[in-house]
Amino acid sequence: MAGSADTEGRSGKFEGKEGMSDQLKKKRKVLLIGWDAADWTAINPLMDQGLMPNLQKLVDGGTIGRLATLTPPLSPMLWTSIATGKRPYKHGIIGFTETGADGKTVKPVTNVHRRVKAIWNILNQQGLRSHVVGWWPSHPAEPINGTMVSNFFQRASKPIHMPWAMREGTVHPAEKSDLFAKLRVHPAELTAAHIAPFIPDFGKIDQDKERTLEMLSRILADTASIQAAATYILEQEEWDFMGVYFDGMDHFKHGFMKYNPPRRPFIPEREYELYKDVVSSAYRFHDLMLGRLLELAGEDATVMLISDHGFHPDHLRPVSLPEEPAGPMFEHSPYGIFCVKGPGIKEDAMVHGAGLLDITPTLLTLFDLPVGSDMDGKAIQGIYEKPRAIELIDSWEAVTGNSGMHPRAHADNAITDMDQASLDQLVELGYIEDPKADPEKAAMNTVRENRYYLSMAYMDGGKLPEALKELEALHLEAPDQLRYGTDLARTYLRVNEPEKALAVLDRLVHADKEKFDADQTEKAAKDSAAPVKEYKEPVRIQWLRANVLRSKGEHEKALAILRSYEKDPNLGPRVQYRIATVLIGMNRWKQAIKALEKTLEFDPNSAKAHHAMGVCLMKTKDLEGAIEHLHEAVGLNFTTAMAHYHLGEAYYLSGAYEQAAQAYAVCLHLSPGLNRARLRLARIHSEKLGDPEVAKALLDEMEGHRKGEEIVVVSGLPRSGTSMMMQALVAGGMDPFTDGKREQDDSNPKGYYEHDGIKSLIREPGIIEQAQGKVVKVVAPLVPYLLPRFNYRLILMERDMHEVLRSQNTMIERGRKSKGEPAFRTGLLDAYQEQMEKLDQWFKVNPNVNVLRVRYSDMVADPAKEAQRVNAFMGGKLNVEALMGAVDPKLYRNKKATETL
Amino acid sequence: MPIRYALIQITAVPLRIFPEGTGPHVSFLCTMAENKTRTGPDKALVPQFTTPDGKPFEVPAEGSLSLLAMGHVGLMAWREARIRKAAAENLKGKKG
Repeated sequence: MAGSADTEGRSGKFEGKEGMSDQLKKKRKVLLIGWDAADWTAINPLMDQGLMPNLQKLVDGGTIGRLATLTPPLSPMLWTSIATGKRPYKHGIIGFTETGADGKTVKPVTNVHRRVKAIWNILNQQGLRSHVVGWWPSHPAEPINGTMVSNFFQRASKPIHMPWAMREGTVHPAEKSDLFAKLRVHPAELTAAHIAPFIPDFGKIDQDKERTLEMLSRILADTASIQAAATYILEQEEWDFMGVYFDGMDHFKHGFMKYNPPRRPFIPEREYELYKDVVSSAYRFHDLMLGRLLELAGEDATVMLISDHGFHPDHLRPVSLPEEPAGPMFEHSPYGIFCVKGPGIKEDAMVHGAGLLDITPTLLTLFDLPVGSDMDGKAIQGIYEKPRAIELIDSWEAVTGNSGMHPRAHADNAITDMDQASLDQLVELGYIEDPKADPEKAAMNTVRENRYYLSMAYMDGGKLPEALKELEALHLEAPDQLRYGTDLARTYLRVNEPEKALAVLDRLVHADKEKFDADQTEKAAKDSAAPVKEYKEPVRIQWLRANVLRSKGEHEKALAILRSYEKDPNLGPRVQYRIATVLIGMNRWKQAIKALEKTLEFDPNSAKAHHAMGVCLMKTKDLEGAIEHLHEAVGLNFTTAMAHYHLGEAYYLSGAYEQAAQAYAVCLHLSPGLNRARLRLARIHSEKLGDPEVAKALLDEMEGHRKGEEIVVVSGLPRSGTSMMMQALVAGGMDPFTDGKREQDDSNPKGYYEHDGIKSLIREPGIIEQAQGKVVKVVAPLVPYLLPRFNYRLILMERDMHEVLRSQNTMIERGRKSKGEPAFRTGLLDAYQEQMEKLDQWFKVNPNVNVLRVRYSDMVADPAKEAQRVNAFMGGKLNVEALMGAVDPKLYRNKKATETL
Repeated sequence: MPIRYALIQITAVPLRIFPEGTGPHVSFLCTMAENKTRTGPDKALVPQFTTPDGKPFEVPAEGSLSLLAMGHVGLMAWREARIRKAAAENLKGKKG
């Protein structure tokens, strides 16, 4: 979180409107407009043609950017994260539906389960007047100081000739319900004049066979209703904040994006010609509405336009969607839009690295209010003409005063017509299964699906143990559900448990094959002449299996799986990036480059492919090419800190130190905890740019960016006494980070205390995170791969190099069945010495590593003295007697004095 | 059958509102600006619209996307135009 962490006395200052300063009273007005699923990739060509003049005005006069979405990209969760600055596991809105208090009915999600304050609740406590229209979910309307029109407002649940009642709780204050009811547009009111701009040849549609006109009319009427309510409020009411959310764009896109130009081969010509204009017309209609909102907001207002995720408008959209709940989310792209214009906001500017979670913190700064430290986002500071300090408060949840929030309540059980209409639309869009078929089963599925979405949110927020807990339970309950199993396997991979991941995949395949065989038997029983099909593992399991194999270092096997998809017309281009990542793991840079060329031919805007290409070219010494691709990567996706890091590396290697420093600085801006970049930047400033003070300041900064608990590392060359030191520290009271896989043997009769994952430290450095607060063995060559974001206390075991080699030789001979050939290579002595010298240099530039050197011979000769030293180094927290008792001098078997090499 | 819908009486229109055959190709951009209000015969304020070149815009009874985009005032003006048209047709019917 950026800004000052000084929070003393803040909760007093921000307790209710009585505490509001004069400065606060003349706050700016902020209009926040949400266009679900709006995407710059679709908007830019329309603006270029002059078809979105109002958005163009906003863009030209303000600051724009892309908003990174969250996973899962499901709108009720996302829009609640937008309004609260918190992830779903904090705010409590999970999924599209919820169950009634009886647990047997399925209802559209409401706001009663939201556990935290939304921006309008915070503003309410500051005496500011807010209005909210259509926010998803916002039913029942909250009793705020202003008007709230819930997301149950617009949906017509009956034909036009029947009464169209408005559900209780739709409007706050309730006495305005009748007034707002009149602002709703019924789909049946619409005429050819409204439909023709979307579907000029609508007369060719047989409405008995195609429901497209009905769908379009409904989306359009809903959208017009929201606009009518929002404009009425802007015309009639005083306001400080207004939030209005339009879901129309998302619905237009899920219904009609498949017809968007260019036509894809599987889209029939007739349908293409009929519906190809719908999505672009939807954007133009939204632009017309934006024009009116801007006009009503006035020049002195700050207007922010956002979307929660994008939507692939081009060949990247999937050919088909998985037949599973929320399958349509696969059409979403990971970046929404962001645009803000108003007093003090930069004109014609861009910001990078913003996300949905940043919206509420940014809104708070617009009102000169502090950001909650418990919010998961940060204020977007780059929008301001003049830099401003960001104040922090521990949490807005602790601030007292009327927030206008509902007390926590249970949803009732009754399903109303309005509920049913909302549910029907979710069914139609493919987001949920039809609950009418079996209500109790649907309720059970809702609970399970929401747990699954929660696990995805945990994964997205890096809370892997919590995600694992949910996914393990889900996989146990429904072992045939591919989604649960594949996400569980993926999470096991992230915590470096490839064997567990493989076991899950094998179980999934077993269940899937059983289902397949049962289908085949049933088909054969019906038709004995039916051809017998052979079972094939689903693609997503196969690709995940390749990932697991890659992480285990079994690259050839991974490649074999992935290469089998190369000739598939649909999957072939998509598998190339995966092939490239395996090849990169094998250091086959030139082959990886070829695979990446194919990836970029298919998707020239793939930031990750440009990034990988840049790395490969750097490795093949094509620095110019590397810089070009890395520039492209950061241009497409500015938020990937590692792309800037590699750009810095490429510039450094080419001698462009100023540019390298700039790239590392941006990397640090995006990822302040990446001390690896800080170290490199410090080195450039001290060695190349003649700025030792800047270098020192950077190194001093490192401490503030360290995370978590200290990690104790025992290191040294193999056979230098590292296992002995591990045994001693564990005996002394330390908790070891070990998987217990490598058992004791003649070479190490008391055990090795190793962890398999540490062997993959180069590929998966994140494993070290799990060693926080513990002692871990890391062989000397891997020490430079310790993540710089942690503090380390490192005990370096030193032993005479000849003794080390002799001991290694003995160990190898013990494990060898046939004797005769030399056990170690010549030149190893020099290599080891060079390695240790490099390590000495590395220690000098890594102030986060505190080193104690312990000579193996001293430890064996005088365990008491060395144990005292080690204990002092560890802060005196160990049991010295136990520590020294673990040292067994009898194991000192390869003394230099008695043996020669 | 006339039904009560919101503020106004309209004739019920089934969802199947589109004629057979190719429909009219309506120009998308018919941008208007609400520049002032006039007082109607019932003393209520009625929005008045003009085209981008400043000419008065007569609100069509069949409505338009631009009117929907105008929000509250556009919607009310469109419904008022529908009432006027329905009233004129009723009158014509009676005279006929």
